[in-house]
Amino acid sequence: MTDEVFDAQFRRLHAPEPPAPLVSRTLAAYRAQRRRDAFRIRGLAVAGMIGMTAMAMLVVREGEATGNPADMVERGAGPVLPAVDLKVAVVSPTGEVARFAPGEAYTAGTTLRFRVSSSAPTALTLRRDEIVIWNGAVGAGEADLPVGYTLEAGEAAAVFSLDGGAETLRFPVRAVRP
Amino acid sequence: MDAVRDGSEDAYGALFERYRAPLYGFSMRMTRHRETADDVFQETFLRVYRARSTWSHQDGSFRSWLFRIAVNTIRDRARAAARRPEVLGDDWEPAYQGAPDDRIALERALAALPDNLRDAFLLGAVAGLDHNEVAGALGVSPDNARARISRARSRLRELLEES
Repeated sequence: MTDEVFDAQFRRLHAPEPPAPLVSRTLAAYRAQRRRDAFRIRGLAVAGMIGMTAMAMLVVREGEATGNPADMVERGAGPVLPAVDLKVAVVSPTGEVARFAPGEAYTAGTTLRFRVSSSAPTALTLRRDEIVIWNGAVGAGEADLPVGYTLEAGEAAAVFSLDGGAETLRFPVRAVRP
Repeated sequence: MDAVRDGSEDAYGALFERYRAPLYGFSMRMTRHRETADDVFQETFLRVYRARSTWSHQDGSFRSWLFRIAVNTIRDRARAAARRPEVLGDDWEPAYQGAPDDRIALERALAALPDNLRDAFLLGAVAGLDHNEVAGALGVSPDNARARISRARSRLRELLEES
């Protein structure tokens, strides 16, 4: 196999998209930083002008002007993530479908199926621990994810999670019975 | 990037859109820990903004500069923690079991590479940076970057044959 072909198989690996909450958080942090910078520049300009005429009386309270970044509150209509609900069905190796039960130890060959409902279109990411099983967009309403997860013999306990809604949904799956 | 340096929010947004997935993938595969990768991702993009006035075309491509910031952020975190950045060790391996297909073997092989080979391979072979850009991102010479990528590829072939 040539180097190019060899490398290409790694490029085809799933490229994890940053979760929507992380994207929102990062952009909000960037905008907050911009505002702080703009505030400082304006504050310096004003202080400079006043200082020219009343330097002796001026007290620049930089701390109050900019505030503690940790205490800053995002105002206005920020990004609002939709309410997302997740249902998990369990399909046994013989094809019987049942509701997922947290804490239940399933046998190898059991497949987990996922149905989501969202209050608005959104991008979702489904993970098993850190591994992305699926990500993609869903519309408002209910939809089955186009992916299942088949448990294998000896598989360790794990936490599945779904990102993209107002809160991360998590559900643990116990170690798989042989 | 020139527009970002001049304060354009639209330009920053365009850069963010273009590089968010490659940067997040790199962070995830380097740190192998989601929360750490999230922190690296956010910190890197903030550092890009804060350091925008220091960027110059003479420093090489923007993406090389961006990944250099990411690499430094990861190293800073590792130093601050005085250990590898939240490497999961025993907890990490089982996460691969039972995943959908044999891509897992590739991910496992990548995860088994030493950091100084994995970063070079991810940047050069996966993110598509050329040797000069990889060198700029890692702070090494182009020859060293090329050698690291080559060694990483050889090691990956061995690991995949063993699996």
